[in-house]
Amino acid sequence: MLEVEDLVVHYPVKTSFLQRLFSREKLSVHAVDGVSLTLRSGEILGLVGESGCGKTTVGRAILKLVEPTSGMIRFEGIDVTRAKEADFRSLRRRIQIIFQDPHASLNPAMTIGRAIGHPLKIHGLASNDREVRDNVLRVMREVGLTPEEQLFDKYPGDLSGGQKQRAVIARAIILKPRLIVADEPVAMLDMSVRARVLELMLDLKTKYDLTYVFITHDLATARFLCDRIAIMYLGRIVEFGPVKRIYESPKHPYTRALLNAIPVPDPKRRAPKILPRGEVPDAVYPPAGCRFHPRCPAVLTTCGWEGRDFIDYLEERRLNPEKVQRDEEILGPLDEWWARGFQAGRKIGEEDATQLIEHVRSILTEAQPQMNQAVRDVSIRDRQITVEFHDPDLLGQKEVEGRLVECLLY
Amino acid sequence: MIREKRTLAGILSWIGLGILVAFIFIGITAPLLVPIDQTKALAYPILQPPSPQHWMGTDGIGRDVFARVIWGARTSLEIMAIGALLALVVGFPLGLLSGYAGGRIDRVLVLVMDSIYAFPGLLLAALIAVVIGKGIFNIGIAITVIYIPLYFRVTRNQTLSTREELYVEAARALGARPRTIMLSYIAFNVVIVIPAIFSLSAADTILTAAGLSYLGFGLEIDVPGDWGRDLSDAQRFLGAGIWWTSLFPGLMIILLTVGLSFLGEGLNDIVNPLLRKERA
Amino acid sequence: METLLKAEDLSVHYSTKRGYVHALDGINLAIGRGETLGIVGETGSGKSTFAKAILGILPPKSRIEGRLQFHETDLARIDAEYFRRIRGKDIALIFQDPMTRLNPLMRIEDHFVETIKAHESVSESEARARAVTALTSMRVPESRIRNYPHEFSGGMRQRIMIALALVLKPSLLVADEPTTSLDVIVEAQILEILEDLKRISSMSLVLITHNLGIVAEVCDRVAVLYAGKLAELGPVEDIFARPIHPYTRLLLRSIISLDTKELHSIEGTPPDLVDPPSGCRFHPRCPYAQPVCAEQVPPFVEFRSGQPASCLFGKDFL
Repeated sequence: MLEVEDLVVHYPVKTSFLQRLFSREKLSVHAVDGVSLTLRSGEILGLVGESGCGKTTVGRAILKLVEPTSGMIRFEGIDVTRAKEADFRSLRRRIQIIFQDPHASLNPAMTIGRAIGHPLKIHGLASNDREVRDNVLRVMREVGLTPEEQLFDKYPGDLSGGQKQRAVIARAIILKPRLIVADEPVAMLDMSVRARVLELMLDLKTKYDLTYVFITHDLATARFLCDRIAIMYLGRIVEFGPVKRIYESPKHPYTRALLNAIPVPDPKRRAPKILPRGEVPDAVYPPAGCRFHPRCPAVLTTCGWEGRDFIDYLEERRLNPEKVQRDEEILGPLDEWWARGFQAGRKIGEEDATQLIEHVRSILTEAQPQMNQAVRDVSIRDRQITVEFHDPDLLGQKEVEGRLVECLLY
Repeated sequence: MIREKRTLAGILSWIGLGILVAFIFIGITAPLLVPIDQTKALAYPILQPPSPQHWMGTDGIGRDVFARVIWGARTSLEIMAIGALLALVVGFPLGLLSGYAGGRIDRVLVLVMDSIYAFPGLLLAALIAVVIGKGIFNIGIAITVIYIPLYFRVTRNQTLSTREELYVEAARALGARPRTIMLSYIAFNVVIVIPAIFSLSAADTILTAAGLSYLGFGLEIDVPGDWGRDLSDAQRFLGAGIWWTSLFPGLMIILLTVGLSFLGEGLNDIVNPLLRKERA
Repeated sequence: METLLKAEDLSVHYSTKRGYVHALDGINLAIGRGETLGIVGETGSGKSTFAKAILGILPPKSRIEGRLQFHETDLARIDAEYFRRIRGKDIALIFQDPMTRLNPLMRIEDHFVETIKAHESVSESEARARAVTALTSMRVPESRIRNYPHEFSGGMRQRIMIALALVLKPSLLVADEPTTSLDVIVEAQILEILEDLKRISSMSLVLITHNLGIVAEVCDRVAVLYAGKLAELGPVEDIFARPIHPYTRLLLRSIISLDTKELHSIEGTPPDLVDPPSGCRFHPRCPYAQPVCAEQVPPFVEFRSGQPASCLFGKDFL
């Protein structure tokens, strides 16, 4: 039903006037950096990842709420990537979205009845107000927004979170769409209410023969609901395949980390967790090679070690009371070190060059062996000491045990 | 949806509203309260101090000051209505369009509006008055022009922030056309701030109109009431100890302006928490 | 175990235009030294109100009744000035959103110095040294202590806030939804930090959340709140494995975990706290409700040792 090929969405970063004046770089947020997927009619596809991974942007791109920077989106065979809004408008009847925040997705100035019926008016699908009202009441009954006559005239402010989300769902299905993108539809609802809304979504799926793209960071819900799932990290899909296979034997280290990190609601099964280090890096400067490499517990020598990783390592050492003094003496303040691409270094001032290079070599041996082995050279030239890394291996999607994984381990 | 809070803001609003209503009443019933001949020149002996026959005395041309002051309310309100209302009628849609559409339209409009805004208001109004001539309607137009940027700017800012709201994005996802979005989704939520701005700019309008008249750019001489002009005329008598011809018109200006300001500030205080709550 | 904080018949209500909101009604519980107590509830349960009562940051028009004993002080009776003295020093708070605690215009280092000097008379340099120690223990590099809050990521800000809360070594830390806005891996990292803290210090932790998963991971005992009243209280293993109160049971069943095979929810919506249901506040939504449940307010009694619950039929659920 839907094909996405190499979708790229970059947002320009708002920089200050001075920054624009002095820097050549055109900075952008790499929200989505080459995502490809297919959506089969009648399935529930999960887009799972933490915040900043790009899953929400993919969802919005499908609805053309966001312009793709490059790539292609094909809906029911039609290329809609570059479609003009006027042409796409009629297609909007077939693709709808449910947002995460039920409190913010309803116009506070519109009654529930009017809001739910608005799509009919927009697309000219009802000839008179009576027809609109009948349709709205019918749909309200279907989603469980009862007593519908009473709630029809209420404003969003008078409803509870769960009721608001139902209203949003009602508004989405009144046009009888084929595809619904659900962006974290239950994340902001109480746990006792989530199940009901999810049940409703499943009922509607059967009733209207819907296809869902289910965007979430909650792996547990994704497992229950989805048929296939794509795990995203920093703008790329790292693992993609049938839910059962991925959950039973996750292949990508990030997937494993995610599954591992989920708190288990059973005190008897408390276990120490192996968590990846650090946090999701800035999407403006994604790491080289495999984007997960700086944090990956199973990282290899060829995964994409670069200058920045060396600086991060230096920074880490400064947290270590045993190492900090000597490092500060010999290596100097951290902001004198630069990192560019696969190199890092600093200008040598009055210090003893030999001592510096020896220390750098020795601290490299204390680092992760994979990083150490990835160093091509540590050299001094023109009063600069440079640490240079090998180029990483090319990363590609491989099929492993019935799912696609993007990882050099395979 | 808007509930009064028993706070300082609420009390101020009521006082301001009361003053405004009083003035409107006076303005409307002026012909009944004070027959128009009482404002004609030499109807009475000149420069009489306040007395039971002339509550506020008479001025240098023999007009009853009280009568002038009453009719002055009418004049001021007329100018205010034209000036502030027209500015709203022009500034609001332009601000809406500019904020929603963005791009070149926005840049051009903002440039134009900022240029007008940068000009000292009174000076610009005076210039326009000189060009288009005197008269209540013309003064109203002159004042409109200098206040359009205010409505434009406020509306545009509100539109810009409302545009980012999730329900506007939802409307786009539904396939709503820009016009629908602007009207049904944005306009309703932006209009909330207008009453406060209206009151405050109306206060300013009164001052500007009075200023124009004071400087001599305002209305014709035979208009039945004109606070600013009366103030201007009264200046030369101050040295001689004649205080009533300047005090009363001045007092009226201050009273109406302050009343409108109270109303505006009060409305502002009520509206702001509402806006913040909606976002929460 | 020595008791650190004890709530006795604690009630909090505040007036709104529609009437009195009974945010908390007759809460009885105690927290021991070094214990981690989880307070679980959904929207409108009163859990945030409880946190605010402990810290003295209730909204202006609230009224407290009952006692909230912290050492020799009754927190329900003291004034704002007293709270200012114990806040930060004896009782600390971390929120869901670190930015409500961190001043965007102040460097991180200065946050610490200000907090330390507000409660202790130490020199500026000593305060700075302690700031560095606190931050590096939270894995925030010294090179970054002069940054502003917005220059850090969400997870780091949360760690900074925790470090700030702990710098004066309070005996009680109240964490109000500390990980709700964080991603699952960062959440796990923060929980790990809290676990380590538990081991190292004898600090007590009150963890307020709607996420039963993290309660199971970190807490020793759990209190379940519903509509301002305590539904159930007990050791974490018992609450999860042998819940008594129907609300607890249904809540546990509605959790969606990796093993979930079926969806379960609770009928109805949370009650209106201005006009709560008569008798047992849960009765309109309780599948086991009997007519008497609408008439009698169930007492909070132990049906099993150490596990009180407020249900008239608690015995049947053992």
